This record gives sequence, C-alpha cells and structure tokens, in this order.
Amino acid sequence: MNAMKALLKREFLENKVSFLYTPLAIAGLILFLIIVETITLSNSFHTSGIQKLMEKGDEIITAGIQTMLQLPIILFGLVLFGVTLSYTLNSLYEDRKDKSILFWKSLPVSDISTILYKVASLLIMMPVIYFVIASVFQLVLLLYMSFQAWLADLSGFKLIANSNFFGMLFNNLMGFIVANLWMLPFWSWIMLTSAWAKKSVFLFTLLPFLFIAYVENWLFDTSDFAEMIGQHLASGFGILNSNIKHIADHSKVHELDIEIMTVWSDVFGQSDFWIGMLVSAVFLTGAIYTRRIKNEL
Amino acid sequence: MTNVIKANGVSKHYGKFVAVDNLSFEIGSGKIIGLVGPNGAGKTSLINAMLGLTDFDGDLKVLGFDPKSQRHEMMQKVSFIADVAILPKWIKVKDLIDYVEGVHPNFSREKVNYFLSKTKINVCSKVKELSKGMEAQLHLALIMSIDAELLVLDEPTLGLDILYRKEFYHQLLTEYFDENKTILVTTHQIEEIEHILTDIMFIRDGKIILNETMDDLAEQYVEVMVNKENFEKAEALKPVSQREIFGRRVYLFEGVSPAELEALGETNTPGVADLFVAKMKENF
Repeated sequence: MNAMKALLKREFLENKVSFLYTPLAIAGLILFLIIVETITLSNSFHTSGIQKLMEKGDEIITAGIQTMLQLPIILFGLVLFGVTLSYTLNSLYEDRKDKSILFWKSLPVSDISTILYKVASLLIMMPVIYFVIASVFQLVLLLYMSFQAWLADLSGFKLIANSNFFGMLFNNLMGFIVANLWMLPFWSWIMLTSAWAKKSVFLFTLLPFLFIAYVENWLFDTSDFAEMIGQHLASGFGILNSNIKHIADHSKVHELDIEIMTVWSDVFGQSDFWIGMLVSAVFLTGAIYTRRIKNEL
Repeated sequence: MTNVIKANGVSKHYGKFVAVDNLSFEIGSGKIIGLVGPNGAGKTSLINAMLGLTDFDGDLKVLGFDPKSQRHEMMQKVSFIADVAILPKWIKVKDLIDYVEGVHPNFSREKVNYFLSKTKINVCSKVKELSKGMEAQLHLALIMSIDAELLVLDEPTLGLDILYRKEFYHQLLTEYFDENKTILVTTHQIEEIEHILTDIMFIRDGKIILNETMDDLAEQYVEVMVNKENFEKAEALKPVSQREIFGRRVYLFEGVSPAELEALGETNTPGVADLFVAKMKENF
C-alpha cells in the first residue's frame, strides 16, 4: 500500500506541471475570458441567448445547456491527449538521460511495477485529475449561467434541473479514461520507444509508422495501414467527447451519424479495442524488457 | 563466513569486445573490498552484472539470488551508489525520503533524519538546489539508512573535494559498516580508502589479476629502498617493479622472504596505488 502510494506520488510530483498546473491554467484562462466578456458586453446580450433557450421545450433546453457546458471540455480533452503524449515520450527516457535511473534502480521496485504504475498514471490518475478540474470548471460555468438566467427574470433552478449535470460529469470521467485506454496501443508504443531510444524519441516513434505506410503504398498501392491508424486516432477523439454524441442523440435534434463519434460505453464491444489491448500488452512487455537492460542513452 | 557474492565463469561481451572475461571468485560477508582497475578494465560491467543491471553469461549469485531473475528480491538486501549526483533533480528532499520510505521495507526514517541533521541540507530544498557535495551527502544518508547486507559503491565520490571524500568514507566506516555488512567499492582515489579495506581485487582487461586480503598483501609484497651497490643483488631476486628516487631505487618484490630483503635495504609495505601501477605494467 505504501509502495503504491509512493510510486503514484512520484509520478504526480515529477509531472506536476502536466498533471495539475496545465488543466488549472486552461480552466483559469477560459474563466478569465468569460469574465472579460461579461465586463465588456452588455447585460442584455448575455441574457437574450439564455432567454431564447428557456422558451424552448425541455429536451432542447437540456441539449442547449449541456452543449454550452461541454464545449470548453473539448479543450480539456485535447490537452489531456497532448499531455499524455509528452508524458509517454519522456516516461522512460528522461531518467536515462540524467542518469537518475541508477538511483531508482537501487531501490526494490521491479521494472514491471515502474512501467505499470506509469500506465496507471496515464490511464487513471491523469484523466481523473483533468476530470475533477474540468468538473469544477463546469460547475462554475453552470452557476454563472443560472445567474444570467436569474438576471433575465428566468428560473436559474430550472436551468440547473435541466442540465443533467451529474450524468454529464459521469460521461466526461468515463470518456477521459476510456479514451486513454483506447489510445493505449499508441501510448505503449511510445513508452517502448522511450525505453530504448538514444535520442529523438518522437522521431523514432513516428518513423516505423511512416515506413510501413510507405512500403504498403509502394507494394500494393493502398493506404489501409495509414487509414487504420487515422481511424483509431480519430475515434480516440470521439470517445474523449462522448458527451457530444450523447447530447445530440438524446436531444433528437440531430442524429450525429459520424462513424468516429463513439460513446465510451460502446467501445468494449468493438474488436478493434480488444486487438488494441493485445497490441498494448506486446509493446508494454517489450518496454519492461528494454527497461531491464538499458540504463543509459 | 557466508558467501555474499559467488561468481563462476562470469563473462560480459559487447559485440566482439570482452568486458568481463570468465571470472570466478567469492566474496564473504563482513568485508570491505576495493575493486581497482584502469578505465575500461571491466569494473562497472562486473558491478552492473552483480546488480542485475545488465545481462551476462555464467553463474553469479548475490546473497544467494540470481541478479537476472530475482533482482526485485535481491534489491531488498542490496544497496548501491552507481555514480555521483544521480539523484532526480526535480524532487524535494523530503519527498525523496518519503519515496524511499514507501518502497523500501528496510529503510529507517530516524536514521536518515539523524544523518541529515549533521549536514546543512534543508529537507524542503529541491535536489537541483543542492551542491554536488551536498547531493552526495544526501545520497549517502539515504543509503546508510537502509539496512542492507551488501553495499556497492561505484566511484561514489568522483569530482568531490577532499573534505567531502574524507567525510564520506569516515561516516561509512564509523556509522554504517559492521560484521554483518559487506561493502564493495571502486574508486580511482584508491590511496584515500586503502586504510579501510579488508580485501583488494585488481582487474585488468576483464580479468582479476590480484585478489588478496590486505593482511596477506602486506606479507606477500614488500618494497625495498636499495643503494647503488645492491642493485644487482636486488634485480637477481626478480622484482615486480622498480623506480628511482634520488639515486636510489625502490624495488617491489612479490613472495620473497623478508630476511633476504632486509639485507638489501630499508623495507616497507607498499601502498596499494604503487602496487596497482606495478601490477598494471606487468606483462605489457
């Protein structure tokens, strides 16, 4: 138990900027823009939008409020992917570069534990922290919108009641976690590269993809591999934003019939997901083996 | 005396280069062994093999564990400092202590607090804010607070000034070492630690060329300061090496009876550094 806490705390402290300060900065920036907008634009401008919305039916109100609440979360999700990318690139490289790997390895922590805790950090700790900050941000936004409604002599309570706020939060949490799980084949591959590359981890991460795509195109004049990778990446973004499809489907305003827009709960029934998990297991096994024998750049 | 390390035909190859060449040796508990060799002799490769940091051929057991397959269990009883200033720079001292306490079952917080109280290290500082000497002090304090059976030190004081170096080994000897512990140390400043060693191993080109206790060393090797008139007699006894000092010669002998040597001039036990230089020049 102590070891688990120590290993997770280490990951958090080492990556405090990515794990904590970055999502806080995003929340702060968007709130700042909202405050600036509130000060500079007239009051009637704010209230008129909400006024028009509140005149519609409940389904439309719910969809409208949820969309307003959800749009900024797209940014949190994008940054979560960006930060996970940077985290995996450095995960097994930086301590070889500064030689601190020789200190970490002087303690009774197996290479399997080291790597699995890093995977746990990117699959659980990071998405949960992003979710908590995004949720607090959404709560502030919801209260702000209710206040605007109240200013327009409308029921702020009705607005909150229609938001299905906790349902949204749950979808966001699962969307963040399942999206990183869906992307695990990529993250595992990058961790493997990070464990053996002497330099330019990013370049070595990309090169095999470009090589395979090029060879496929040269031999068969097809681009199936590139399309498969592109599709998987795009679906990752779709899962991240499960709420968007959820809102559209439930409001019955528009059927969002785009293949990549997947709700997180649908993922587990897809063979692509399970193949991805197998591929991840292979890459992570490779990373564990490489970590055992490679202590220097 | 139980075996702490038992090596049988241990080799390490990097492509065609042989870093460790079919070594067999045993190291018992309660010893402080100096592993000495020139750069590229295979010291670090041998140590890395013992610590399970690299693959190797042959049979090697450390405290009865196979370093390749039982590294995790082995590291509960083995500590090492593999270089100077290798602590993670981004971490705060107190968080580093928390981490070691969290992952190591044999770590004592009381001990680390005691060792750190004797330094100027502020536990709220980040490691990157410490000087190189202070970082070495912190590393040693952490390692000494772990109740390990084997401590391996690979150039732990390289680049530190003489005050830190002296203090490092003094503390190790007075506050850490006991008959249940074994310390294996490599350093280029061998003359600074020879007084604390119980055993010495010389390694060259991946082979052990000397493996003696310090007591046997004093009996086996004798230095004699010889005047000009006795040069021929001295050379007839086949010295290992010789060097000139103010018109006289200092000859180093191996396995020659003390009575014979005392007749040639003033005898002395050679320093390990002189012995090292002599042995390294042998057969070159």
